[in-house]
Amino acid sequence: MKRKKRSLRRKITSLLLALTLTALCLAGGVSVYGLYAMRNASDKSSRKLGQTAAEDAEAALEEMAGEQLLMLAEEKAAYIEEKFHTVIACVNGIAQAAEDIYQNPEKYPDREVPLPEKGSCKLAPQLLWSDRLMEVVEEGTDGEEWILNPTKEQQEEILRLGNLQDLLVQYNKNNDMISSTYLATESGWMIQADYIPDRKYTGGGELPDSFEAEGRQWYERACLAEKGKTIYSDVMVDFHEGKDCIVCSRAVYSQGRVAAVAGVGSYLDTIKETVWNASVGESGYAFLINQAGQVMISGAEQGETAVHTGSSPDLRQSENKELAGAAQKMLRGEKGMMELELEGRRVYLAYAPLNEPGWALATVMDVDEVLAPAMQSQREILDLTEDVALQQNETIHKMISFYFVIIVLAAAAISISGVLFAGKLTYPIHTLTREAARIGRGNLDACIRLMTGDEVEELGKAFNKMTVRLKGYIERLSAATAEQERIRTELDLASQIQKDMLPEAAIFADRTDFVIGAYMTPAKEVGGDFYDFFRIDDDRLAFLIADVSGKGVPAALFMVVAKTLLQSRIMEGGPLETAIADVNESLCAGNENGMFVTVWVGVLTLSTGRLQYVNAGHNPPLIGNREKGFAYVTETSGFVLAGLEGMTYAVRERLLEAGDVLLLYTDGVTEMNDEKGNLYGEERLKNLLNGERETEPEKLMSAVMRDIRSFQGKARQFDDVTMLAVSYLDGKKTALEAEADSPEKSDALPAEADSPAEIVVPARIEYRREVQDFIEKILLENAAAKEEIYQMLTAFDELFSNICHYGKASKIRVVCRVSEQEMTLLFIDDGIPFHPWEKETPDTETALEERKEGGLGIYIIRKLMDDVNYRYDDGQNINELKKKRKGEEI
Amino acid sequence: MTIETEKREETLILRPNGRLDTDTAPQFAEALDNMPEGIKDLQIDMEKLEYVTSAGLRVLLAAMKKMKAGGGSMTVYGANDAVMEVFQITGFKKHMDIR
Repeated sequence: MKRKKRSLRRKITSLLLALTLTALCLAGGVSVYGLYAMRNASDKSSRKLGQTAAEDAEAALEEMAGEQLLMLAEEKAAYIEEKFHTVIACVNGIAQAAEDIYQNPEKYPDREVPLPEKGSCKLAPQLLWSDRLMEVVEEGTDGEEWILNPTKEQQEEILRLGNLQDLLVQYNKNNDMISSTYLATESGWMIQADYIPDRKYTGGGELPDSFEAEGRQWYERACLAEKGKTIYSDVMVDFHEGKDCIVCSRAVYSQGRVAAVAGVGSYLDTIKETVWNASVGESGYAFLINQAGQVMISGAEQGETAVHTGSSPDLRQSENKELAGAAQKMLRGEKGMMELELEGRRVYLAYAPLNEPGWALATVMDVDEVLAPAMQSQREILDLTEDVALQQNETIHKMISFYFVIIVLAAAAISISGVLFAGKLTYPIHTLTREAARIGRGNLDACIRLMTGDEVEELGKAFNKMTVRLKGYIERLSAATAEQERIRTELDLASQIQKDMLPEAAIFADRTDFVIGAYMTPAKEVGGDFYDFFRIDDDRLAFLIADVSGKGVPAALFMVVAKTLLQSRIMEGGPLETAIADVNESLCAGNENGMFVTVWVGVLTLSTGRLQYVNAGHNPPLIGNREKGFAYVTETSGFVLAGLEGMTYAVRERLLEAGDVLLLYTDGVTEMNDEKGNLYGEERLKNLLNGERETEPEKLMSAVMRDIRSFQGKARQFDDVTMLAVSYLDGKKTALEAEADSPEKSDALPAEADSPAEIVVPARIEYRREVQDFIEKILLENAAAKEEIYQMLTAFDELFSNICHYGKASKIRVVCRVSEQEMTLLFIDDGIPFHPWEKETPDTETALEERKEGGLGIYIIRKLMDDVNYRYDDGQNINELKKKRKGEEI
Repeated sequence: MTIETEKREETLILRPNGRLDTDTAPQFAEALDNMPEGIKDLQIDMEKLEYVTSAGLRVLLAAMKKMKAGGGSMTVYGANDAVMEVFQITGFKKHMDIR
């Protein structure tokens, strides 16, 4: 589960990079999207524009072409019509001149018309005639010979009509539409002016070929036509040349009947040459149809609209219905334009009428050609659109590339500047971290120098302050620790020395007359408890247990003194009580600290089992054996050693039987607390021993230790626990029976009827607490009620402080005695004689503010206690305070 | 002995815990001497006070005088039987505001 660590610097850089790249990508994406959208829209609109433009152009061109075509058709039609008007004028001129000759022959002289000149191609008037004016004059071997034989009238007629010859020549000469001009008489004469005199001799004879006008279409139609009206023939083959031609003719009336027909012939190719000089576009052409629907003139080389030699078909009968319809419209004299299919191509056809002869002209042009420019422009527009789109695409691609380059450059720039910026930003933090790490490694001389002017600098300063303080603190702590360590070492040493001073039980391991066992576990390194055992002589064993007041080094020092004095003095011999009294005197001398020691010392005469003992304020030991069980040794105790000078001690005696065991202990055993603060107590100790019935010292003490440890639980040990057990084995009991009923022995069992305890302290207020604790302990041991304790302690406080303040005493001895009936506090001090209870009752009625101080404490004692009394004895003030116990309420 | 103090505007509550005797009276006196300015109502909660001796009474008396001189008041409450007995004996019960 190792988390990857990322530096602040990298985080900031990454964040900057991510933000910028996102912004750039978004901007780029939006721009590219916009460009594409614009390109698409533009492309679409360009194409649409191109399409529309092309369509518009097509429509415009179509309209324009149509107009142009129609105009062309009209122009050509008008032009041709005009040309034919001149032709018609010529015909009319010839006919009018002839009619004038017929009506007024006297006005005209005789004029002969020459015969066509052989081999001539010059324009000339020529006389031709019909077979009707000929007759066979001779029939020889060579065949019949025909000669001209007109009547006189006929002779006369041609001589007069000969006057027309100049007119005919002039008409022909001056009009390029005209190829021949002539007049054919009913009688059979024919005066003709043309350029082909030579072609009149196809028969090979001396005379020109005869010419029969009757039966010719132009002659017939002219005769049938309304008087004075010109007509046109259909397309026909020229008699002389064999070429396609049309003839315009008019009958010449004389005396109410047709005398002759005037005519003008035009070769179609001549007309075409003359008239057809205008082309129609590239592929376009024009064609002319006559009243019969025949194509007379056409720009087309082939197809239906081309000119057909011989009998031309009627276009109105064409299988091409569109063309047929167009032809019908044309011949109805309409003009207009239409689109139709012709010869497999789509064409526009414009048509206009020629009113005079009833003809019509059409112009034809390919749709493709008309629309070619529109198509071209559409193509160009579309090409242009395509070009624009391509250019836009190219631009967009360039933009994208540009963006990509920008993004890459920006990323690079931001990476670099981000690293630099983050570096600048995090440098102080790095410095701080590094320096803090140095401090963390213990280098308190490290100083953080940051001049960033921000919070980091503040932090750095705070670190520096902390370092300085820490340094000072550590220096002080080091000094203190060193001092403590030194003391500790010394105490360890002292503890070891103390331990070494205590004898080993093993030194008596080989004895058969007694077994001794010792146990000691100090609460602190050095304690005030000690035990000792030694042989005074061959028959006597001295053993003792002691508890020095207080703890720690002073107690240990005092213990050394006490132990040394006790051993040396007891070894010295003499009565035990004297020895103890002497030790007391020695200890009192120079005991400035007010220390004292409680001692229980016994001397066992091994041969007899006689035990002498002195108790100087120590806990009563237990004595017993397997059969009888155990009981406390409870004779009244003497005063503690070093407490008061001049104390005397009583020695007691009892006789031990074989199997008897004596357990000495300090108050560390009975005053062991459990977790709730309850005391282990003497009762429990006695009951334990009676339960175990163990007499082997080591086992006995182990049992006690187990029990007090289980009682203690997790509570702290306050006091030293020290035990000494002596088991008497050998009974040479010569004096045993005699001593059996000693009074001391009977005292042994009644036990705790009365448990006095006392304490001596200097008469100073500082010792008040020690005495208070002492009293409270005793009261608690005797199961005093809380209220009783408070009352007793209140009384104690009042009296003790009173003695300290006013008594001028050096020491105060306080004895606390508790029975089931009452609690007694005995105060013994060496101060000035003072009878507290004689003091007048203080004022408790007036207002508190007005009261004088003093006397209140004594008054409280008197009220709280049931009995108080005072005596002065042997230079000592003795005050006794008594309080009855509440009995059953306890 | 420990002394807990609680200040509410012009009210100061002292909660001595333990025994008010020769040993601890100076401590209690100090707590009263250190009373902030402007306290008009001094309350002594004796719920956790085990007993009081004349040394303690003297301090209480001094405090009461001080409060009255400053126009304020002192109230004592929550005393147990032992404490109350002493108040009774000494006549404090009559002259002090004890609830």
